[in-house]
Amino acid sequence: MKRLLLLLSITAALASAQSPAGDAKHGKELFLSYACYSCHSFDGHGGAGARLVPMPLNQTAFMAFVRNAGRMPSYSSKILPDNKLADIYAYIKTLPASPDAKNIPLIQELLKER
Amino acid sequence: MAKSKKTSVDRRGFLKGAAAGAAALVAKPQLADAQQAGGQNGQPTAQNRGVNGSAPAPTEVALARETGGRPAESSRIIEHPGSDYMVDVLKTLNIEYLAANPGSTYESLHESLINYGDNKMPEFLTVCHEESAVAMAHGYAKIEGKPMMALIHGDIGLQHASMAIYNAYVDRVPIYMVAGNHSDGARRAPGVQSMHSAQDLGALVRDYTKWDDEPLSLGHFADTAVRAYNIAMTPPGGPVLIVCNAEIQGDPIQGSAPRIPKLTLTTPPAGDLAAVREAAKLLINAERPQIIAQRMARTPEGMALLVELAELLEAPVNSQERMNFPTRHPLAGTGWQGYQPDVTLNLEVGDILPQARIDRARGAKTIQITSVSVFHKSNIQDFGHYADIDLDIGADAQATLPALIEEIRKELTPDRKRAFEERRAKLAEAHKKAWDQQIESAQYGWDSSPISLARLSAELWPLIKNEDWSLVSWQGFISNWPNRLWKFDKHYQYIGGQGAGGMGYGAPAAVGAALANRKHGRLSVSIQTDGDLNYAPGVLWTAAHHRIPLLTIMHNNRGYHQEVMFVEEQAALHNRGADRSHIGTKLWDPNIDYAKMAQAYGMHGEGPITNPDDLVPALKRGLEIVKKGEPAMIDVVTQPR
Repeated sequence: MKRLLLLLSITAALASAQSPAGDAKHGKELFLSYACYSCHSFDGHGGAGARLVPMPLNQTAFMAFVRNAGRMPSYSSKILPDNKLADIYAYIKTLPASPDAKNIPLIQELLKER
Repeated sequence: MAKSKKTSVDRRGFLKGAAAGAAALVAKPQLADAQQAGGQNGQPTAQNRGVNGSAPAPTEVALARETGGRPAESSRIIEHPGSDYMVDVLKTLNIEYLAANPGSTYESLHESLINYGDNKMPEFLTVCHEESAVAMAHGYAKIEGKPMMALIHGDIGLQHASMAIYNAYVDRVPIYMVAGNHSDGARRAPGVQSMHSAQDLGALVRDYTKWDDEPLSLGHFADTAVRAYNIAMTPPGGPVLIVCNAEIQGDPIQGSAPRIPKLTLTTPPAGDLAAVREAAKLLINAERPQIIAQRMARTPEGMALLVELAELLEAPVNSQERMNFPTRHPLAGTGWQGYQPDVTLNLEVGDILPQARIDRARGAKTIQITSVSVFHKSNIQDFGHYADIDLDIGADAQATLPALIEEIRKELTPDRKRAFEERRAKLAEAHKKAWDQQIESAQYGWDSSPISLARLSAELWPLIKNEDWSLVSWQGFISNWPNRLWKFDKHYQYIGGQGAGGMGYGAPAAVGAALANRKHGRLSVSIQTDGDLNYAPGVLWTAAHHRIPLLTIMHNNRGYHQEVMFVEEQAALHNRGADRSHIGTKLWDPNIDYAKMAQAYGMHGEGPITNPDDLVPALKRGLEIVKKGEPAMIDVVTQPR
């Protein structure tokens, strides 16, 4: 996990911020048809795979990661070209953040139960 | 024989005949008769419910219909068939229930059980699939710590049962199976009876049955029946099979009945004392010991012993597969961040290779205690890999813990005790931190629809925590959220998983566990995966019919989710798109309506719940019904994991 975060940080630092802007609507279609949700959940809040919301990477770093992922399957440009990845990225950026645990009374009750 | 086998109608033969030529029978409005004779909608009323056992009695009209086509009187009567004696033998074993799908190979025993045996000890439970019967017994044994019986019809029933037998075998769970067979080729009828019989019936499942026998006389049956129970219960536990010839069942008892041997359970094998002393020394001298427990606690006593051992050593306990250790104990977990064990104590761990590899890489010592080391078969590879182990104690872990605890107490010096106390403080702090993080992580996807498994588990907890509850489903497919949020501290509060990873276990095991919980007045809750339920959903009817209180909450992710991920991975590996990964893996178009499914099987069903705000009221309604002694189902559309 640490290695992954380090890789992501370096990639992000090296990345140019000048990637093509994506189409979030098309990105949603791809997010569903490519079953990204199966690991990351329908709202990108994680499950078997990592949380995508809030997205810690810029678009270029995100695309670099998908091309050469660690535990996650890597997707080549042949099957997910840059423009499609940009669309998926744009969709992920639209997904709302979860409420903070501090604002969820049930979670606060659970924390007090110890 | 009590009646002509040539004129009797076999279960499968009947079904085949009905399908081929008697479609009109299905369409015939016989329900109207039943409605007149029974209660509302033709259901049995409280007045005509059976007095012996929980199953309702058939209505008079239904009874007349069933018996109307039979000969008025048989020319031959056998008042004391061998199957009566078999019931006498079975009653000495104190088996509470048997689950069965009816079949002609054991019809004499069936009749003896319900009439001669008065349908008590064991009580007959009607089940719609043999796999469900065995899996129910699997779940029951995990709660009750002793076997339930599954009665199986010949080679066809045994083949249906085989997957559930395999799960129980790998899970080391005792199950008592009796299968009928028309062994005598000269006496069995041609056709169906021959097709449903085998020369060596046990061979069909022998690779994953702990022991089987086919007794040739009533005296032999008594010996085998008692021995089978003993073998099933001796660790490692497992399913045992008695093949029960239809001829021995149906023939009259000749002379006085044979003596029934006394059941004396074999004491579980405990570890060699010299080896136990060596283990004690390694653990005392370790700076960072770790205990890993899988199928360790067979009974509540096993859990208490593990707590005692952990507190003596002040070592973290990583509990898996069973309720081995309280989840909120300060020593629960894997230690603080960077805690690198220098000795691991592995208690009834299935495949030790991954842990042994880690230990070897860091120069740590590996100790294993498992009864499986002294019980092996060849074909099925569930024994896992051979691994480098420093101390391998072939014994039942639970039975060995008292000696290990005693040896540690004897050898423990004040210096080591002080070191242990320091370790405990650090471990307790790490446990609290990890626990808090787990709870806080439930926030992710809190408001999502489909509903997150964290939200589902969190919302359910306040509704059951003040009850005497029991989670009768596996947590592997729900990201272990109950373990991360709830307080598990009793042995019966969790039953673990399938054993061999075979789907179709979850629903019947939950019903079997709920059956065991019923007499203790416990509240049974199952978070049920959709893929698993669809193997043999008829067990819902069994729960309704026998009034087994169980709240089933569907984890309805509309697919075989693990396989979606596997196909995606393969597509990426093959450099092809993952946009077809839903083919063969998803259960949608149409979506399955589980509320209607539950209703069709005769229980309360509601949903699909998609809005998290609707969850608690639905769960409350379901719990209210379950507390009244009935099963209920709430269908919740969920995130994949």
